[in-house]
Amino acid sequence: MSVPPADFDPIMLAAHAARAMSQAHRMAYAHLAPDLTIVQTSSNFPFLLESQTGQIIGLPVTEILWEFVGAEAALHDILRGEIPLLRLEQVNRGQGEAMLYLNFQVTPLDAFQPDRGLLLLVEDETAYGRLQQTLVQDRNELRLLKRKLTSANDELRRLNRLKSLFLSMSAHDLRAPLTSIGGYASLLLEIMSDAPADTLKYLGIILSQSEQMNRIISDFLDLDKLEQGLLSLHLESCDLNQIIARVSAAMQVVADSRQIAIALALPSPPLYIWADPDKLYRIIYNLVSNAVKYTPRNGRVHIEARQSDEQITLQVSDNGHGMSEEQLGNLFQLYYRTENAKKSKTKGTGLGLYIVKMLVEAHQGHISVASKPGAGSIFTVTLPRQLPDNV
Amino acid sequence: MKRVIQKKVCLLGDFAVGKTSLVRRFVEDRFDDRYLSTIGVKISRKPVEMADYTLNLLIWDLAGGDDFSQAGASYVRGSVAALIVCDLTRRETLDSFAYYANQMRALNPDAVLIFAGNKADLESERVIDNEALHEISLSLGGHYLDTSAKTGYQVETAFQLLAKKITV
Ligand SMILES: Nc1nc2c(ncn2[C@@H]2O[C@H](COP(=O)(O)OP(=O)(O)O)[C@@H](O)[C@H]2O)c(=O)[nH]1
Ligand SMILES: [Mg+2]
Repeated sequence: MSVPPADFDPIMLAAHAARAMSQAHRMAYAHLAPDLTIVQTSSNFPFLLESQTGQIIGLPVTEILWEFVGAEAALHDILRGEIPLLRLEQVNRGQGEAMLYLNFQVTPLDAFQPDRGLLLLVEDETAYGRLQQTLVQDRNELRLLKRKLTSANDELRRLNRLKSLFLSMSAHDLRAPLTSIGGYASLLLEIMSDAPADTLKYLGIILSQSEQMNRIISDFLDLDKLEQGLLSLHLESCDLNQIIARVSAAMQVVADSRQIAIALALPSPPLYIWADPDKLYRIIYNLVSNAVKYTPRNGRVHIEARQSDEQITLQVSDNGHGMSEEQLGNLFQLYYRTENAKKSKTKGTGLGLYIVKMLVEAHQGHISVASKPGAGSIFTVTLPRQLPDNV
Repeated sequence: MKRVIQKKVCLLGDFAVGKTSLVRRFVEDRFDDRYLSTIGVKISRKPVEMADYTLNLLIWDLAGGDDFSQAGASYVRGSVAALIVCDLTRRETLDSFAYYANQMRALNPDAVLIFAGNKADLESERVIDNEALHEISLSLGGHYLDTSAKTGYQVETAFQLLAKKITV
């Protein structure tokens, strides 16, 4: 293969190549004398450095480029051949949109005779710099946000602890007078058994309402513990039939007053379950009292328990108003009360079913509900007979 | 005519403590609430009038945080002083004081160090008390001041102190 004759000598070729490269990569260069004054520059040198125009030949580089103030020692080290180069990356020039990111590099003009002078290369890396700026910006903002989130969480936790403290203190303060009210009401009922019927009725109301208030306070306290994951179960073997019977007896007065029949379907021999008896009572009590509350006069509430190998199923059903799909979806949420519940004269906090669900789940159980408007509701709770060890 | 002397000084500190804002306040007397992360270095010049000379401070505002270690020596070398900054609302930014002080001293053994706790205007969010700040700063060989780039509080003072301590 024949080689075409060279049109350029090697120095000319290098000069052309340097010009082409400096255009392609936005580079400029300058020759510095050993005394660090500027000897000559590429034609785009003042242009690339924007603010620096006018006569620069013969001036010390530190007057033209602030970047080199303080770097004099390093530049002399290069001239003495003690270090090969000095490099400054991503030097910001200009403001805002017009900002440039420049790289500066200083090497000896002649690697074999470094004391003859220096070559200063300026490279415009704005495109890459902007990209990196965006990345760093995102990363830093993310870190700051994460920090904010953490401290907001800490603050929330602190407020939550404060709320719990307040709640338990006020619950304690409320309970004391309530105990007196209930206690004296039941004492009066005892000693005034021959009083007029109205008087006895009113005393009965005072007593049952103070009990109701006590239960609401317990609900609040339980809820607080549940939310903080502090609820502890005191597990023992419980006679489920007996607990259901106790709930049914406690609800009897209210049920009777509205001619609602409570029917029990309990197996024999009695069912035993490994659970926290107080919590189990609360689960059943809340379900039954709900059923009684939302069932119209002359209605019927049915409580049934049965067992399979592994689990116990408890059902509380009524023939009350029933609920729509949408109502069912929200039923177990905190402070949710159905439209019917809001319209009805019965008072409630919207805590009951939420607490039931939490307590059932604390026992590794499951609760579900089936209902249709006008066709009553069936609440089904399944509980494992034997809780796994880690509960 | 007074002599003019140019000296390189550095701002060091974790990201978003307010280094860029302090320089902007000192050099241009303005403040911007928006955060624009610095990458690389931005050099600003500000003349400070001293009794018998004018000191041109060339202030190197460096990218904060772990980018510093990469950028490293070539940025910090040749600087006669550093303003090392923490954010009074972020405890962990104080933990880095020693790191920056040591980096600076390793490259420039005689460097003047001044320490600033910035964002002093955010009083209710402040988490670092003055006692700790003074103690740490003195142990690292420099004075300490509260600053606020936002209100301008003690920004001038900090740089003036820096300028006064630089021997020419
Ligand atoms: N409130 C308040 N905000 C500040 C102060 N100094 C800086 N900032 C804000 O803090 C953020 C980071 O500031 P910047 O100067 O970019 O920090 P740098 O990364 O250290 O350069 C920006 O949003 C600034 O507006 C200050 O003194 N007070
Ligand atoms: Mg910055």
